[in-house]
Amino acid sequence: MGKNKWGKLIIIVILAIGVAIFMFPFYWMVIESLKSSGEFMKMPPTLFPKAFHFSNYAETVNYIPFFRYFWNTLFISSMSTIGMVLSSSFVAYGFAKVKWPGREIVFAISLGTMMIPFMVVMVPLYIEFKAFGWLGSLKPLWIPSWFANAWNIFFLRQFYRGIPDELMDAARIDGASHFHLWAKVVLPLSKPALVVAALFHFVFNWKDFLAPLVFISNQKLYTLSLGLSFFQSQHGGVEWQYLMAAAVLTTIPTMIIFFFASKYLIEGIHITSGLKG
Amino acid sequence: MKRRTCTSLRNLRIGLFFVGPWLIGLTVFNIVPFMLSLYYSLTNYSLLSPPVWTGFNNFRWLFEDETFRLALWNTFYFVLIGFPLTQLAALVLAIMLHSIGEKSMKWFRAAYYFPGLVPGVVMALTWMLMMNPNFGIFNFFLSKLGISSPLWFDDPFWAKPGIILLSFWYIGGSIIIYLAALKDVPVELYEAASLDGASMWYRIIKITIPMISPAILFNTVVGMIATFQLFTEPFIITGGGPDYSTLTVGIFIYNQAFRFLHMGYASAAAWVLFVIIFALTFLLLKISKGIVYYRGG
Repeated sequence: MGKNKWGKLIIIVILAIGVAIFMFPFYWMVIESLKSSGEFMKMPPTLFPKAFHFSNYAETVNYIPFFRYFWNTLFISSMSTIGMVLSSSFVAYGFAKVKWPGREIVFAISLGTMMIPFMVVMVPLYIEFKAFGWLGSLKPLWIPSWFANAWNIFFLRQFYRGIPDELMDAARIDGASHFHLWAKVVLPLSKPALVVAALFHFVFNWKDFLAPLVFISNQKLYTLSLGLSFFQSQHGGVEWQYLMAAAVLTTIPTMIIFFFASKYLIEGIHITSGLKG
Repeated sequence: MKRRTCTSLRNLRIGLFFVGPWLIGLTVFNIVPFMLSLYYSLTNYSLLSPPVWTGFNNFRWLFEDETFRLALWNTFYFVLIGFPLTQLAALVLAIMLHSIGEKSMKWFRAAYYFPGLVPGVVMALTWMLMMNPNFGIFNFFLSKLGISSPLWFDDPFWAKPGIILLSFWYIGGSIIIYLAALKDVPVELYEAASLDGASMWYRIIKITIPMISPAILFNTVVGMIATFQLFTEPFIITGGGPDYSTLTVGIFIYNQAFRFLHMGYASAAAWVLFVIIFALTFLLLKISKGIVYYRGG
């Protein structure tokens, strides 16, 4: 028994060191964002700033149009999340609760499209969006989400299949239509699953870099990730402390999600991996 | 009989009503672009004038293109060297986390997962800073340990390991999947092995690994597909350099398409990538059939 306890303690120490290493980049980001430009370039680097230059944050916010980029990112992430949750739930209902000929084949094809890498469709999508006249706007980054997405259809369909048919049949006998059932029964029942799907989609869109890079060329429409990379390539190596301040500000929303909803995200990974439930 | 076809027709209408948005999205945003991409790959297309059919020329040029060969080599380097190392780390950490019990593990698990939520651009910028050869903290630590420090992203040899080092920070998702699988391994198996006097290593290799092999397969397939499309971190940190040492196929496609407007050539490169991903996924699933252990049901 004693030997076991020691073993456990050693493992906890190793894991704690691992966590410290994992958290170090974030510590470093914050520390560097608070240094003066003189202290920044010092070698050896100071592990803790001599004076906290909170003014770096104020400077950053003006230096790059931070609030504009923040708003753009928030708009894209929110709009695409709302659309994706509603549409995927709607479509998942059609796959889970309506028995129609050809359903299984169409579902299999849907899953097959998950195999198509974004890299392959990136060029034609650009040309398509150009033809739609979407390229001068944020539309390429959120409208497609209103037409559901294979991962979420799969995930929500699993969830809906767990809702007993008797519940639905009773309502059907009372004359409720499928649309009514979806809106009034299934949608409220699936709130936890929708929260998980929404969180993942929001975080994914908040983080995304490649799609904004390809589809957005107007600087006024830049997202935070795009703005950061533009700022870096324009002023690379010069104003690093401002860049780090902007990086910290960009990370804050995901940190908030992490603190309040990491439980949901972790549950979600369990379910989407298809290994459970 | 007639009634049955009648209801099934009605159901078909209702079904299509629900699935409709997806069928439209699938066609417009997936299937049509997928087909178009194949068509463009057989043409010369600069966006400024309509595509001109050139047959398989793009593909022939690709394999003669030194830059593309380098991009393929670099991408395989990340998939075959970097990715297995990060997966191994995820597996080891998951086994350690599992061994300390659900209660104490939760906090650690969340901490390991956190970097996965941070935008790739932010991670990349932080890495550029930490691994800066002149004033970066990383080389400062190394010099304290008496290790002469490489130039990392300024050195064609060390740039790839630098990117791989960064990718360790993204293993949280894999860890969570391994933990879920570990939780499902029946305790009786370990108990029986313990009674037989089996060592810890024996138990891990003979019980744990086979029992969680479906999770290993899942993480391998998903992670491999993602690594083949590696883009953001090398694009931000090095732009593919120095000396093309971190140029991935993803960056090659992007550059060809949106910097040089070689839409056809870029599409051909994308199709080469797709075929590689598809073939290797197929191969992995095929090979795993005899190895991966699925419990009944």
